[in-house]
Amino acid sequence: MQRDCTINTYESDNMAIISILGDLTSSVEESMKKAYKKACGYKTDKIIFKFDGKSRINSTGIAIMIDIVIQSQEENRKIFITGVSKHFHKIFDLVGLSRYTTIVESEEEVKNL
Amino acid sequence: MEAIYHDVIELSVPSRLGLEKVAIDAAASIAKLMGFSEDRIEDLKTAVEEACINSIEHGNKQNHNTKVLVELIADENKLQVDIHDMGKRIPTKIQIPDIDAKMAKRQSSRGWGLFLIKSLMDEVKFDWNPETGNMTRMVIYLKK
Repeated sequence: MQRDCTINTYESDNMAIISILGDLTSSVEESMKKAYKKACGYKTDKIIFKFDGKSRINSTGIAIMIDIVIQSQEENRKIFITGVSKHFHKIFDLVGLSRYTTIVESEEEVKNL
Repeated sequence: MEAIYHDVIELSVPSRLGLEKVAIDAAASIAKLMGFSEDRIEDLKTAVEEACINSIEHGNKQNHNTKVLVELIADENKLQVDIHDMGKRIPTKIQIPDIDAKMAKRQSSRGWGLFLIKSLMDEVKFDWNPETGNMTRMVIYLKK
């Protein structure tokens, strides 16, 4: 009954992109872990989670992101978030995840960082 | 002068993860009809989602033969959403989630549901009794 979620991982301009079309909930936990693992295989320390602008996140989705950010810190990788709705951004601020990730307008922005 | 109204809508949702979407969409539809802003409707959708998931997972233990009852009570200046399940008491006094503690692995990465509900709604009340189970009451006010 949840919005279908499609996750794709690819490399672009020396950045790893994890494209997420759908909602970040418990149903995508394993897919997210696999996507992150694949992203770590690229020779870059920049990993961008690219949402579709309509994606929602719930409490389990928050936990999934926290686990990924913890792992990324241990591996000295930087996590960027893009394509999020105003509400998604609000949730990230509310729980404090925006202090541990960088929310950007587009992946273009990350190229210059 | 606007009419004073008090509309009650009830939904009975099987305890199956994913079906909380029915309650989310119903709450959002009513809130939209009442004139809530898009921002507040998004807050409501997240709170209803978390409360329903709690009832499905922790209250009714995902027993598909049990139901989660959702009451949407629309008044002139507020929307009240009561979520009922038939389970044992769900702990509502939990450790306050702390992102720094979670990042340092001193807390589990989970446990955000009640925090989100309390943060996003204007009023929240949790109740339980052995005959009727758990009830989560959430209220948002129209601020014109």
